[in-house]
Amino acid sequence: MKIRQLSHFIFFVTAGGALLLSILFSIAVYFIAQAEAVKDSKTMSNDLISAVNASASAAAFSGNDSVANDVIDGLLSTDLIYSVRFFAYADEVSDGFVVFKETEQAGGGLDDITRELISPFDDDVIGELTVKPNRAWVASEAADRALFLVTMSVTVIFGSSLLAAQVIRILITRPIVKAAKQVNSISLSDDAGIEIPAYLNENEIGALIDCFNTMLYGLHSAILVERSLRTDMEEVQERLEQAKIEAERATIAKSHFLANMSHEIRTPMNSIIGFMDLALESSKLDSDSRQQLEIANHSAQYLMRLINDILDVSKIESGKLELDESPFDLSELLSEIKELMGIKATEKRLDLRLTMPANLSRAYSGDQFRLRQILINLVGNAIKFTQQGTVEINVESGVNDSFTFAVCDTGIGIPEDKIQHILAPFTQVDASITRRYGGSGLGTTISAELIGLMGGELLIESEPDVGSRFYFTISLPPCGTMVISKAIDGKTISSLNHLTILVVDDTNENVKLVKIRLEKQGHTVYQASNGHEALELVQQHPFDLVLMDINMPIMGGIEATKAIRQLAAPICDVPIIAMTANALEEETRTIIAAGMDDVVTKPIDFQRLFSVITNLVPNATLTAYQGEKTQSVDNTQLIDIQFGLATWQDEQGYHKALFNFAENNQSLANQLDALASARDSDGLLNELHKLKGVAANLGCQRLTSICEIFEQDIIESGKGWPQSDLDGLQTCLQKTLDTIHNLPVPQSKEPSSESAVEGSSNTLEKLNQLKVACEKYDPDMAEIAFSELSSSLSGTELIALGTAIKNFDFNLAIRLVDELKHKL
Amino acid sequence: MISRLILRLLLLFSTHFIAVVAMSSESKWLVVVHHESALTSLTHKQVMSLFLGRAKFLPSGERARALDFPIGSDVRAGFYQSLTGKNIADIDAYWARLQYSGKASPPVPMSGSDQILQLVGKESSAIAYLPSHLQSQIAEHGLKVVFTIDSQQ
Repeated sequence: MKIRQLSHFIFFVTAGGALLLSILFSIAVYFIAQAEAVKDSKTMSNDLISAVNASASAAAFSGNDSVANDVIDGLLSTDLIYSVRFFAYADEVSDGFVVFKETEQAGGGLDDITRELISPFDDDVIGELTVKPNRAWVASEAADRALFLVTMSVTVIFGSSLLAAQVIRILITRPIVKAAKQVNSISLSDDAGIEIPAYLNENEIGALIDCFNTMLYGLHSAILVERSLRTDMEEVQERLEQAKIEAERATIAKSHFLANMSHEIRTPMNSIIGFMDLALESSKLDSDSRQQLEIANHSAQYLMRLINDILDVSKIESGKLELDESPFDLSELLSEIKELMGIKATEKRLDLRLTMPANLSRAYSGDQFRLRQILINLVGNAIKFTQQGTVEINVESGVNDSFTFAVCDTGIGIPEDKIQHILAPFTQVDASITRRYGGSGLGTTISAELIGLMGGELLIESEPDVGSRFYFTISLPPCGTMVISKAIDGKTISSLNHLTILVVDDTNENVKLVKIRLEKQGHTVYQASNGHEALELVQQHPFDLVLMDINMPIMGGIEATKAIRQLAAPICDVPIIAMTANALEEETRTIIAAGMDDVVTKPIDFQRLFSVITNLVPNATLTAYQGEKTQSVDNTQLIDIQFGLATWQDEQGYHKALFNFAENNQSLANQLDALASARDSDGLLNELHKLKGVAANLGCQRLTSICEIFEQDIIESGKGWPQSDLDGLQTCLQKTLDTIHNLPVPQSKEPSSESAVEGSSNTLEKLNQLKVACEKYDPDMAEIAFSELSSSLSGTELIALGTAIKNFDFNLAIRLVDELKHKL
Repeated sequence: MISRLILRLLLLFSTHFIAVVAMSSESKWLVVVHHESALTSLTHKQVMSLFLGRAKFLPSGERARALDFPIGSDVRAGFYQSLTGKNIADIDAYWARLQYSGKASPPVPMSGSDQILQLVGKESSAIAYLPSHLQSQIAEHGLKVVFTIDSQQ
């Protein structure tokens, strides 16, 4: 029951009870009052009778009825008496009489009250007086008394209730309200509690408030605990947040690391595979070496595929993989795959079959490289898991340009409960499979993901020991007349004109590989180890093409390209091809945005590189010599190697001469300074003449021109030649010398002995620098010293030295340096 | 002091004694009627009824005519004292109550014993009282005694 309802209930019960009780009380009071009134009426009647007794006696004695009447009227004149009967006895001397009278009021009388009348003069009874008290008087008297009593009681009860209420209000309600106010305004942050008047301490209210204070104290403690918990929680949360940020940072770092590592891994792999290809192309190998090299090459290529797979998986997982759609010839693609995989099938004595519709169009739009990757994966797996029988590639065309590709085998099959398993990354059917057949387990995952990207789904039907069928349906819309970018083979390339190509890469092995491959095609190759050098070189020499690495020290490929595109007209138009290991879509976009013309991924697929070159430089010969026709001092080449070579007719000799020139003129700048400050015009003229002659011979055209101008100025103005002439000469001389140092060392039949001879003092100095760096265990310094050294040295020792430095094997490096010094 | 108090007490007693002696000298009363009346004697009750208004008639059947000594006289007071044992004030109060109604007929006061003697001697319905020391004159006025009050009896 609610308190409101309860209070109503209590009110009605109390009020009803009080009403009933007061009615009963009033009735009781009335009856009591009536009894009292009856008694009183008797007493008062007796009193009245006594009062008239003397007169009545006299009247009775004298037989005087008129006095009796007076007495009766007197009695009846009060409300008390209802009726009077006066009876005077008769005797020998008196006749006696009776008088009876009653009041006119209604109501009737009560019981008779009779008094004997005694003679006034002796003891004789001479008569009697009988009265009846008035019932109406009794009733009204009783009512009056009851009313008075009830009124009095009500007044007293009401008054005492008011008094009690007031007392309760003052003593109980008010402190409770006060306590309630305190409760209301109490702050849970302090443990103040509620104060109560001392007189309440002993009673129930005090006990209640004590309980409340106890609870308050408990609450306060709880709040303190909660607050500290919250603080702890916040701390934990902060730590979690921190950990989350760190984890995210770690993920980003991981992504970067992965990208960098793929670059780092691909670069040496690139050179391994490249050099092995190169070695295998050589006919000098004996059969054992060839076999070993082939195994090594095979392994390296397998490793490369594995790395590519892992990179693909990470790209797919981060959603970065995008399809590159272009027109391609489907039937040719399928034939290639059959041819490629046919070798493996033949090795395992399996029959590889290809069935496809006869009416295939020439060109379809799609990502042929990814489709190839899928099919090679599936066919590779089929061959791998089939011991005998056939592997079949089945292509069927469906509606809406759809094609269903199916790869069926008669291999070991897959248990039904494991089919979904094999699509998860790094998973094969079971661990024993991994042991028996090897493999990363990535191929199927990548294929399934790629098919998903193409809008299809890789479906698998398989029965253990009978065979498997992997199939998928994708849409390949035909495209009518578009030119198909076909891979152009080496033969086509070799028929191209000879080009002058600048290769920019900080990794010496890469440069060498590219250089060797390009030179085999008959191109002239220059090299630069960073963007800054490349920028200098393109201004000194006209190039038909620049191959630019992206990540390089000092100045990267992007920056260098932007700078080149800012240069004057003929130079800025040079085609630039990026070489990058980070073949991510994003990076490709950045590269193209920087102004490069195309991208070739590392390890370099030379077939693709050649085709890209053919597309970009159709008339290479014409462009190559255009730059030479407009010459001025500023625009003259620093060193015209073509001219020098033409003059010298001997590459080795020319380079030797250039290096000697550089070595001999290291201190020339100081000499010129000394002569200039002494204003020794003759001395200067002498030196300038000598310099001009040698420079002209070596094709150092800008230096020649400047020397000529300076000579002219001295001849014309004597000692008044302008300072700018000397400054210009100094700058140009330094540039020329630097360029000579940076020039690639020409290949020779005996590279070590040849290179050891040229500029041996300079090389020795650099070797010493390298040794010092190695002894200090300073990898950066060693790297720099090594890169300087690599421009003047070559050979197997150098490669070994480079490897040692990259591996931080400084002790080995020191030993190698000592060997090199010994050879010098 | 004590002797004086005793003296005073003695004085008080002596006065009282003297009064009693004086009253006792008047304590014999004679109720008389006409000598020819049929009445020979009356009872004390009859005398009381006749003089205090209860009896309106004589036992002989005649209307009684009671005579009284003057109001305030010692004789009258003495008589009613002897008759009723009550104070004359009570008797007067009695009559006053009755007279208030207008119907009362108290004894008719006379001027003195001489008038009473003469009137009773002439009227047969008259009845009166006399002190005992006038007994000697009763006969000569033609009266006869029908009741004697001797308060000392």
